[in-house]
Amino acid sequence: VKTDLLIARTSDDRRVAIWRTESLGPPRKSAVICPGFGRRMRHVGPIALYLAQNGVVTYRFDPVNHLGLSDGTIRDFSLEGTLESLRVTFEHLLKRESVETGTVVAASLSARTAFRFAANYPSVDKIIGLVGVVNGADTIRRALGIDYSDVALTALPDHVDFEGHQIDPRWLWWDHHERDWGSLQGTIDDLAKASCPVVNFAAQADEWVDSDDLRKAFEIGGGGPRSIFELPYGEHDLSQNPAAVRVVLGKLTDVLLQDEVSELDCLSPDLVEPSFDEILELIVAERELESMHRDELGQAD
Amino acid sequence: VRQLPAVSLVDRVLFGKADPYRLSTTQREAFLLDAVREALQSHLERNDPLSDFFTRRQFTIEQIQDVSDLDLVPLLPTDVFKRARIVSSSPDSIVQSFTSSGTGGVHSILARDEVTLQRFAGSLRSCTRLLEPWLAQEALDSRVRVVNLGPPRSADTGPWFSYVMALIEVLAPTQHFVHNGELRLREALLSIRKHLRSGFQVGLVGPPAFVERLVRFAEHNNFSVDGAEQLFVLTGGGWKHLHHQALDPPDFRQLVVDTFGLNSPVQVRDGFNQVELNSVFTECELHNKHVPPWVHAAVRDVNTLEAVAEGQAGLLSFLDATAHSFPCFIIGDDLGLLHSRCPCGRTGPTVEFIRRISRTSDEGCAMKMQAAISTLTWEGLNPNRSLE
Repeated sequence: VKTDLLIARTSDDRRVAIWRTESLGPPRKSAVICPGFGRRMRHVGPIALYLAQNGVVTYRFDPVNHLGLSDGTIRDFSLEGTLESLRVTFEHLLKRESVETGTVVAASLSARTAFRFAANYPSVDKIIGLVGVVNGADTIRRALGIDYSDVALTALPDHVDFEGHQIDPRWLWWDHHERDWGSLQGTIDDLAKASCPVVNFAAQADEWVDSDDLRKAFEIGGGGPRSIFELPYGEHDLSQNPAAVRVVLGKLTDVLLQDEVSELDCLSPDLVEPSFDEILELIVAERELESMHRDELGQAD
Repeated sequence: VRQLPAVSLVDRVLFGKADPYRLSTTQREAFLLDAVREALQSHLERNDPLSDFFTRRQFTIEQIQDVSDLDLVPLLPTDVFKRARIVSSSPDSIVQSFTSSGTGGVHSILARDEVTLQRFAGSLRSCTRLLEPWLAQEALDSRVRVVNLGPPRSADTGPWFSYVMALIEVLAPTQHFVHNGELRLREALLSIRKHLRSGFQVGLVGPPAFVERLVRFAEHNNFSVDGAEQLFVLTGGGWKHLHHQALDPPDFRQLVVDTFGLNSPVQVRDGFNQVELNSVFTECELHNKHVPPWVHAAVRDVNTLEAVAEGQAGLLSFLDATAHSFPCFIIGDDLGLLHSRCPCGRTGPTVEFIRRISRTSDEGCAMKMQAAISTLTWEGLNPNRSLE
């Protein structure tokens, strides 16, 4: 597949690095893919490959103040920054592809930003969450060990560690207290405002997302059609399990390409699946591509 | 809420978040029993010759009620893979056929499909658990650089061992230092130095003979590195035709430690795999090779092929639940021992390899193996043909 680097700018002039991956054959749809927290756009390469082989042009991005090629470091991560990165990437897609609508595929914490984005952006024709987070405070408590809903700003540590990265917890505190990114009710409110279909692929053994919260958010936040597909025994980091990835991406591609989610009980017979070797080649090639683009952009590793 | 198809039991553990080497003994045994049963069922449904073989051996899956019953599963001598194409998956699902890199003239050929290769890659990744705490899982992709004393994967479509070593590039950024059959020692050393200076953890991987050659070259050229506490050496594949030059493992480790200035022999580990097996057995910090929980290992008497008690040496046999495209219920040529627990605290047995049997000096064993093979009727297998 052919992937090119594009640069968009946030309202405060920070660079958002985007990888545009062409579809193989005539494009049938366009989609933005948002990696989850702590993951780079190359980590969602298999999704882009899967979609490209089925006729979907994809735009992946690294949010600002996160890992990857965009400006800022993960120390200053905030959901506001991710939302702004999603907005400029989506607008880039609409303009460059000359389309009026596009789909957003978002993993984990990024799905939370996608729900709010859809609430305020009618050009989104569908949101597809992958282990989407609906109760930010609860997920962050499980992942980082801090409950932002119940702590004073002055009581926060200088940083918290997550997967070897130092993160300033004050940005997340502000996200929660100033913009209501953290509460389940905030997600319900956003979903109630979003009229497009919203589908979430959930993992039954997800250690970071409570399945009752997810069901509640989708039941009450019914601004449009809502669906949940659940992978039995699945864990939050689905990307580590290629067997799970295969099951989920087949259905995800189907969901993305079809208009009526509710009619999908089996995979389309014409669905194309990338091979093991193609995925391996992609992983290695995109690691090198990232390194090359990092040098081009003058970014630190 | 709609349910997606569940992934198999073995995939859940193999690719799961939990460290598979730290399951409780109860969890491990329950998983192993179910995973092997699932694998047996799957192969019997897809592989008629295997089903016939099991029938002639009067074996049914119902006989497997307990972990100890796993020793009842009829075994395929690895030699049969040299004589017949034994496949459980349809031909169009096979991604690649791999040959052994053995010293003999006849090589085993194993056909692997996507599921089998994926699971092998998963097994390789799970081995990194045995390198903790030196290596953090989340650091693999970002803070580790691999120097592979082997060819790139794309340059090699034959011997399994080369493929295995090159597959490491999926786990971490990797440079390969065998090109057109030439081992580029100087470039490999400079790469190690460069990555260490840049603050990366470096994994030097390769066959022990190649690592030894690199070490001797470094020694000869007074090569030194700063930050050697971040250098890790992983060997695999054995000494092959250079076995007469093989160093004892402790001597080999000490040579590497002394030359590169490593902190301790803990930074030098070995792994075991063979083309007929779909998992890797890697050493823990005590240099014991751990059998992963999806593999049942046993030691067999060289004459009767019956399972022997712990502590007795014999032929090693394995039931590997991760192999989907071929039945990995095998007995090979390796003499060894099993130890039921390791002082490192991980669960499950460790395996100690003693030596490979010689067909001439281990005649009784060879004859027994011949007898086992003669009960197989795969297409292309000539039971009257000599093992040699």
